[in-house]
Amino acid sequence: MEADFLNSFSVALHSVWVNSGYSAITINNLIMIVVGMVLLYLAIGKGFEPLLLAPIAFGCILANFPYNGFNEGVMHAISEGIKMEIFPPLIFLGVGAMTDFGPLIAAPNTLLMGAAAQFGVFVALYGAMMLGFTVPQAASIGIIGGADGPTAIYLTTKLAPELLGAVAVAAYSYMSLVPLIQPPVMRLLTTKKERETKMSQLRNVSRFEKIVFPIVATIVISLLLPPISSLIGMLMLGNLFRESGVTDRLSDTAQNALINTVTIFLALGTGLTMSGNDFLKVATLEIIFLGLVAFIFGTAAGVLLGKVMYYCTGGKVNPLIGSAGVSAVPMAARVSQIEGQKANPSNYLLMHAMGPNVAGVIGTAVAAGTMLAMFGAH
Amino acid sequence: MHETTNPTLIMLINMTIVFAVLFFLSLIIRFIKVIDDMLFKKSPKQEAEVTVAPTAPAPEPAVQGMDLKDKELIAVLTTAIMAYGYKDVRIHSIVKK
Repeated sequence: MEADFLNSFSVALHSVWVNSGYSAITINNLIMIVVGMVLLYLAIGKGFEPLLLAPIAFGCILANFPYNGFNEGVMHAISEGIKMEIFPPLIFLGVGAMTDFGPLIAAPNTLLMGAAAQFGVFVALYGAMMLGFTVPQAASIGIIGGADGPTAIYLTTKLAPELLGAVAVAAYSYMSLVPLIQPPVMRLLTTKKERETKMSQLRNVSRFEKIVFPIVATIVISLLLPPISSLIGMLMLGNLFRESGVTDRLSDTAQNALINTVTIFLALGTGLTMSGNDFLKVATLEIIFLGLVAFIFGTAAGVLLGKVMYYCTGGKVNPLIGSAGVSAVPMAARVSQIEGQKANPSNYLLMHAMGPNVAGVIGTAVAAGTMLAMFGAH
Repeated sequence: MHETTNPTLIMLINMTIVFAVLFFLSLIIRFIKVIDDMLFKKSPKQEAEVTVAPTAPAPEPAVQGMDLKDKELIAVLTTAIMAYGYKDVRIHSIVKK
């Protein structure tokens, strides 16, 4: 009987060991668990976009446990939410409810700065194709330059889902590094006199304009680029909740409970795609490098168009606000404000920079829509 | 789906479309402003009164019962808010947590 007990005990122990993750974990899994911990440190210890990077990092750790059974249950549902493009439009609903398009409506020329900043997207696309990526993959890599996480995830899920983890980590990491990446580019491309430019006060924007704009923008852009109608539609619906004055409860839900809940699911689901076999490739390093290139060229293009507008208006537009076309809202606008104040302490560029900043959100969505129209399956 | 693989061509086509769409959107915004002015019959004089009103004298903050540091804080906050373009600002209370 004792022998039977010992035999059964050893069989049970062996069974537990064989079915455990310890017996099946690979070196790639271990490396990715370490990568996840590094990302957690960046998120929590250094404050790099913690609301997004922390769940991405934790998802990355979870994804590298062998036999985790994530092909069913809540983790599977979260992964499906990303594959079915549910979460990015819901995030945009919250973003729209938090966005004030007033500075953009007051100065519609700043839409061109948002357009110019998308140059970084296509420079990165060009570079990716030179490095041997396919066109859909290059488009997914290029959209990192739009500095818009939900749009990057939306486009990558449609065009190159195998790159989702790398693209999302690159996009959110660089968004948090905007205060480090942008200022040297801005100073290199502008003179002190240009940076000192004080801009006149923006005009008042009426309630009528703020209500009509999201409705008309949705109709115009969605008819032209149907693949992004869910993104643009939700962005503008959220904004309509905010501006209508009669849907405050919906606006409050969209910009608080809803966006927080969906952020958890989206970020966690993104992290779950970061398994060692998919992430640990030379391509990941190339994507991270191209993401930096995209940000630099996007900033440069926005500032250069700002310089053109400076000279065309006889010195009324501060070129620094052009860098805010890289749509890391409101970080990029704050960088313009800080750099402007360094040149001229009495300069307040924040509200002026918010125009190109929110224009960049629309510009990135339009850039994604054009690439989907050209490269996506119909 | 058009099979374009020339990266320069892709870049030029996409940038052109992005610029064109956003430029068209800027025209629409201007058009909305025209409609707004027509519907609510704003004259240029009324616009000038709204946007170029003589700056009202800085309102006296509620300073009763406050020490010097609070008065300085109120003055700094009022100045900062007015610098952003808000006129006739009056700070009623400050809650310190």
